[in-house]
Amino acid sequence: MSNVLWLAWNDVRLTARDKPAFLWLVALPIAMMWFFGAIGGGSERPLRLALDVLDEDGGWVARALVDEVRDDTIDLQEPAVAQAPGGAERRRLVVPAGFTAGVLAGERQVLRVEHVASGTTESNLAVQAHVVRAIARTIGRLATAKIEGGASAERYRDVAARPALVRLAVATAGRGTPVPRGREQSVPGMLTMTVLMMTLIYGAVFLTIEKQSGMLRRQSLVPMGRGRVILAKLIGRLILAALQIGVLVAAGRLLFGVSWGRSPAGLALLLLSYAIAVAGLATLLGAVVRNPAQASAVGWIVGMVLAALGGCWWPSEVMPAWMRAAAHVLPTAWAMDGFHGLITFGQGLPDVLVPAAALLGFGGAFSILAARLLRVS
Amino acid sequence: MIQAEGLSKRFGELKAVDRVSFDVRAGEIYGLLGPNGAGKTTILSMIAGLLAPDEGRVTIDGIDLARDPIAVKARLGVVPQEVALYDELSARENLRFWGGLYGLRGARLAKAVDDSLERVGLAPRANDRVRTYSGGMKRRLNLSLGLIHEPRALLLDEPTVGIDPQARAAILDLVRAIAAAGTAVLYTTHYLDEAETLCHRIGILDHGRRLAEGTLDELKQLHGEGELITVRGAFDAAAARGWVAGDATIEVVGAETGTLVLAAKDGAAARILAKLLDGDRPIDGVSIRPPSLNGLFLKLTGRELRD
Amino acid sequence: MGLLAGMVRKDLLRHARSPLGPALVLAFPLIFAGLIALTFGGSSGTPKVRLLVENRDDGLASQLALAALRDARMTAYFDVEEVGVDLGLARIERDEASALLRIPNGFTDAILAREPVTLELVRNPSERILPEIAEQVMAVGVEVLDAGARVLGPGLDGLRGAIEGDGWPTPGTVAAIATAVQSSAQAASTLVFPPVIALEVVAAAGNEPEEQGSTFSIVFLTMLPGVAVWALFMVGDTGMRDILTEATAGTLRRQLAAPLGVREIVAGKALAMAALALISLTILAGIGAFAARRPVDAGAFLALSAALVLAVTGFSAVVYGLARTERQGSTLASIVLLVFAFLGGAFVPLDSLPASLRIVSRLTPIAWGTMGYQSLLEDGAGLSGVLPSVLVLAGFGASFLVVGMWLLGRKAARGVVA
Repeated sequence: MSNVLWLAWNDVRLTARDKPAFLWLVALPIAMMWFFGAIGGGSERPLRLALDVLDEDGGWVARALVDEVRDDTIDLQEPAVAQAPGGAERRRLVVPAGFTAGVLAGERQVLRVEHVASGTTESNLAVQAHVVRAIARTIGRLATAKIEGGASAERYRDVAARPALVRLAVATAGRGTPVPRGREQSVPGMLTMTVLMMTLIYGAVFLTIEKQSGMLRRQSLVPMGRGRVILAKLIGRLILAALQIGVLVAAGRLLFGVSWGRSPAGLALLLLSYAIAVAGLATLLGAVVRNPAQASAVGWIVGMVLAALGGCWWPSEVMPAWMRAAAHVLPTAWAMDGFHGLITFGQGLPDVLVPAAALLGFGGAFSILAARLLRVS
Repeated sequence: MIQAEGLSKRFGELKAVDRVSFDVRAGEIYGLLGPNGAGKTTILSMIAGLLAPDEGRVTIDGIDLARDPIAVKARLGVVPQEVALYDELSARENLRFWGGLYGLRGARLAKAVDDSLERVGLAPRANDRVRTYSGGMKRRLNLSLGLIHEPRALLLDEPTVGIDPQARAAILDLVRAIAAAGTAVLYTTHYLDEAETLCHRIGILDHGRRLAEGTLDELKQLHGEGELITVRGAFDAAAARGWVAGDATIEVVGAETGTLVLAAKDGAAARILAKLLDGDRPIDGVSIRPPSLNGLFLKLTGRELRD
Repeated sequence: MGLLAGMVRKDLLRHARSPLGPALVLAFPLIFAGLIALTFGGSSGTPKVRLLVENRDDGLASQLALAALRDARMTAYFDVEEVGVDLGLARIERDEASALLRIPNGFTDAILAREPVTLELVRNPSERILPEIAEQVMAVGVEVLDAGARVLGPGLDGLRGAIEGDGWPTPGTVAAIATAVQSSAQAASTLVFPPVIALEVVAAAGNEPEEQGSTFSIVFLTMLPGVAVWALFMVGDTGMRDILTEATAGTLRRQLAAPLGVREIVAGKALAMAALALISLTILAGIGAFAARRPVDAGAFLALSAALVLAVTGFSAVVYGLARTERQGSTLASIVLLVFAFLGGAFVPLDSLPASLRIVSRLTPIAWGTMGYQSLLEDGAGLSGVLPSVLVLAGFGASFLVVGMWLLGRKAARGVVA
């Protein structure tokens, strides 16, 4: 066994000596964690949504509506000078002239929300939802005021001052923390993806180099046997994946403040089983491709596709149900399931047994195939 | 045909080639013989226009390489030491491409390709990808790429390294035929037997300098008719020199602790041997070598050619 | 010219004989765009929100609320399932639903008595979008409920009495309740049925408003340009890397010994790379045109494609002019192109980037290529519409090509060591 470990460690050493290795294995994954986290809103609650209001009416219903829109989540401003449409830098709500009179007369009035190019899709939708709620509230209070004796500004204010009869309280299951956004979501996903991709690429590229150069054949000639050589290759890739995982878990915690759940044992089991699955796949890839260029190209594509389907890029909730189910033929989906359980639901070791078992199954299957297909010369 | 005058080349602190001059006539095979690192490939690279010399001049067929490199290269064929082929292409496709680079077109190119394939015995495998060739076949193709345009001068950089004796013999025959057709051939090698059997003239190189030049007979003359005697034992250089001091028939070629190398003139080897072994000298072994290039090299440098 | 043509033909033949690398790079945008289209462009668009409801009340108001949730307009967006009390949370924590709505005991009583009552919405923490939709919709629903409770107040008073009283309500009581409700409804009708205030959304200038229920091809065509532009740069990388591959193999040295200059060798390699990029672009464009099923301005397409090929060639020339080894070059190219890709809208739509990153994205050629092809495919833009992209890409490409050819020429001439 010591020979096997010796050979496996040699592979790791060769990888570490490759100058770009640090870039690919550590720097790039961290950069991607940051990038996707930034897209998802960083690690803090989003800033207040920006919204300008252009009140072309000025009547009391218009003012009441604007007051309904105003709250702590909206940065509402009414600029003194109206911006030209399309030239605005902030999103704008336009209350048309005649709004108050029209509403009171029962004539349909159309508010306009003008988005800007700098707004993200998510923030645009959030503003729209906010305005819709304000509309519902305004209509409700107007109707109440009308029934109680006529819609007037004074009566509206009276109705608005009353506490709400029906409220909605929002809570979060699991650990009860707010919905993960930003880096809390991107870090596990990017860890899953980059460990897969880099182990695939590095693991397969070096294996094909050894095949081409005759080094693998030479290794098979020492008193170890082909089977042990292959085992050494698997272990080498496993060590590589495990080292990268360790660094990225630490980076996620120290640089991005991500909590990895409450079960170190569960996390360790999940990560180890994922490393085994990835190592098996990398060895299999190295066994089937002919040269380093092919290994690199296939590694990239397989890594990205598995990551996308497995829910590393986008929340799996947006995938059709059939896709979510189908994705579980891939190890990445099981890894992400395990991360969700540990991190977002605060689950423990027993709850990751199923994903871990699935990942170990993948690892075993990939390894057996690799052993069958790897030719030493 | 090929004239190298005072060529020098420095790489940093290392002077790889130091004022080397020689010429190669049409129809002649000139061998550059020297150990690895002697500067053979550097000289070849300068003549091929791949490296600019720090000093000196190269002329091919009367054309100065520095003034008109394109015209020179059109007359020159180069067979590099490493096999430089496109593995994804067939032999025919490789030949077509390189022939095209040398200006061959149409029917002329097609004929040149066919002739080249025949000449190196690759016609039956002409359309197979080079990736499927054996090492010897690749070497032959490598050679034919340098010949496709029927160059006036041919540079061969150790073309027989790493191939079997049969393939080697075939290449050497081919080189002879090329020279016989009038091409000036500059042939670098570190194999003594190749230099001795193939080359009309030989230049011996070591550490970037040309130490000697001439036909085989001329070089042997330089070495002298006598044998080389190598004595080994537990002695120091000064004591060993003292054993043969004053004897005009002996020349001390090299002396160091434990090894004494003597050149014996006029068949005096037997007498010298008897003299050395007479008495209680700490000698463990003696070897005698007939006159050879290696012997000449040893005489000139104090080292074996293969060291 | 014959010399250059021969060099281009030789390289294209070599790539054709070892097609797996370029083929995989070309396949990637199709696979990736297809995946995203499958995910986001299904016939039903965004998946339905799986909403569990724990009804601890079981009174009239809660039944009405449940009925509203099961209304046809709601079921288009929600899969509503009523679960037993205290069972919903476990389902959420098993990731079986996006949100759980708890209707408290006494909900109906509180509504009828016009006393404050709170509904609770529990979100699935592993999801972000669907629970958000549930929260927003429930919030609007709560506003409507609140308004309804106030509007129907007088009627509700009578109704409460009727429900709490012994025996059946008398006809008079029923009539009084009906009259009160009708009176309230009539008073509110001009405001509520239909809602007197509507909302119109205007997209940013130059952007189409988001279509509801995106189809596969729409999403596919949205994603394809960006990732295809990235793939073209990767193809260019493969092509130009070959100059270092040839240096290692010795065939570059052999070419330098032939009667041609360094510039011709480098030009031949650049032309071969451009030809490879053009072939790749044609394949991708053909697939894109087939998916678009509508004509694209040919002049605009050609101008944009020529500028892109120039940019690809120039970029690759600089990378491999700077790199000392093949490995170094491919690493440098891969990293730079990956950064360009993420910033340039290849993998993530440009409008999803934070504002600060969108400014930076304008520095990447991939962003300009993406914007140009999106304009062509989605907006049916003509030459004037893609001109900014054409000019930026051409400028980038030309300047990089000049520098790159100089660097490569210097490397080719110097890099042959005896």
